[in-house]
Amino acid sequence: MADFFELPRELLFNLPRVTLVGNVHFYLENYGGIIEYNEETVRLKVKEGEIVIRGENLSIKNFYTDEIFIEGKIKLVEYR
Amino acid sequence: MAISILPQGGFLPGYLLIEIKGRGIARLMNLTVREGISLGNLRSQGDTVTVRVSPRDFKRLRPLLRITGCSVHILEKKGGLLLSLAGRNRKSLLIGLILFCGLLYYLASFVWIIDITGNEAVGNGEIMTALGKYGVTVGVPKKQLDPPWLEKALLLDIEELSWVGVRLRGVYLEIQVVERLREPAGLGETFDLVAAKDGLVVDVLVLAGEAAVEAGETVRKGQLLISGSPVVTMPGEPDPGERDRARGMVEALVWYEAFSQAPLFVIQKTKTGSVSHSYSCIVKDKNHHLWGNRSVPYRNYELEKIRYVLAWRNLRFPVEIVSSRFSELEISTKTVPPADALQEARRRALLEINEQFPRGGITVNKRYVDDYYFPEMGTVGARVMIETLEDIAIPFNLNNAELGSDVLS
Repeated sequence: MADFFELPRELLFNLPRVTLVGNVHFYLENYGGIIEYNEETVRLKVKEGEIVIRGENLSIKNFYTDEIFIEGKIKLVEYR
Repeated sequence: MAISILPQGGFLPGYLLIEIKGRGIARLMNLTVREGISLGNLRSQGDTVTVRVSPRDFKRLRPLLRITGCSVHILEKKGGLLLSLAGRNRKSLLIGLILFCGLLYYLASFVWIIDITGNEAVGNGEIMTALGKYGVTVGVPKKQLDPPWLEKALLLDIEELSWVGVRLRGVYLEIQVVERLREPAGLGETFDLVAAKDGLVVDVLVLAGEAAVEAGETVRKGQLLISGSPVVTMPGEPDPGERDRARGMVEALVWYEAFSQAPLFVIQKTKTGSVSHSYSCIVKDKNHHLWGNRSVPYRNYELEKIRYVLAWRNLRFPVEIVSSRFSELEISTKTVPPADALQEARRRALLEINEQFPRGGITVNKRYVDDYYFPEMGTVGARVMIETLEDIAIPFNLNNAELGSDVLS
């Protein structure tokens, strides 16, 4: 249906959308909440699973109801 | 991406840097998002998280902390004057600030400095005392002052002043005064009229006092003319020893004499029309001849020098060009007829007399006493005498006392 109407899938199915700037900025839209946060790991709830970010000196610059912006040295982004 | 890197609300109202400890940090963060509390710059250090939060949001955060079982600790309060003033510990500062402004405003409604200028003979103390009489002292409320009225009051109060200006500038009361010019001292103590110069008395007119001379008498400079009259006392009353001031006129013939000379021949300079030019340049005060005549070809000449200097603003070219123009002169002596020379000598002598001649006098007689011829000096001389009729009576004071002290004593 998304193909048929040429609509972005993340809007239609409320799917998470990740943007990475190098390995320093991580930006996520359509997330459901924070599960875990420390210097090395950030776990974020998304639809049908979670996204895990691992790295060093991770800090949450800003977060709102459906957006989050993380800074630090990002080593791994995993979808579970 | 519409997300802002800066925390919402900006830094203007200031922010708190807090440390959150506890296991339910993640849950707390989810709750804050739901409540619309904006946290920023989360940084995890071990089991604590430091967060930046606005003072308003910090209050709303407290109930959530209880729910999640987290503890909070304020690390820093930053930015925003209002934040620091609103802080519980700064209430006294705010009160102090308001008090200070109020006190400043209150104190500015008084006069704190009185400045008196323009007085020399009248002391500051005298003026201050007069001001004090009208309640104007340091510390008087400005409302009570009325500068125009004060000006008039001061003028009436201190006789020696001829003008007073009172101006109020802030806490500064400026009083400018102009003093009355005083009469020269000693003049008021004179009683007698004496002769200003030597002369032959023609007429004596006494308005007050007693005449000491009669018409026809010759008087010398400083001689007593009219003496102050003694005070008339009733019989039996003691003589107060005071006298009235003498008043009157003493007209006398006064002579003025002058001698002057005039030459019997004059030197005349005439240009022959012959002209010579010379140009030179001056470098470091040394003259270098350029062209034209090196030496002056005439015995008698008139020199016209024009210096050309190259200069722009204060920059000066060190070389000057000098143009010299020599005009030949012919010198001749012209003899003056002795009668003309004598006329000139008399004219000069009269001019000399006019300088010492008083304004009120009337010229009665003009006499050319003697004429002299000095052929060896080439001059003629003339002695001129003028006879005038004038009032020679002047009040006796210390200034002319020494002139006629021998006469008066």
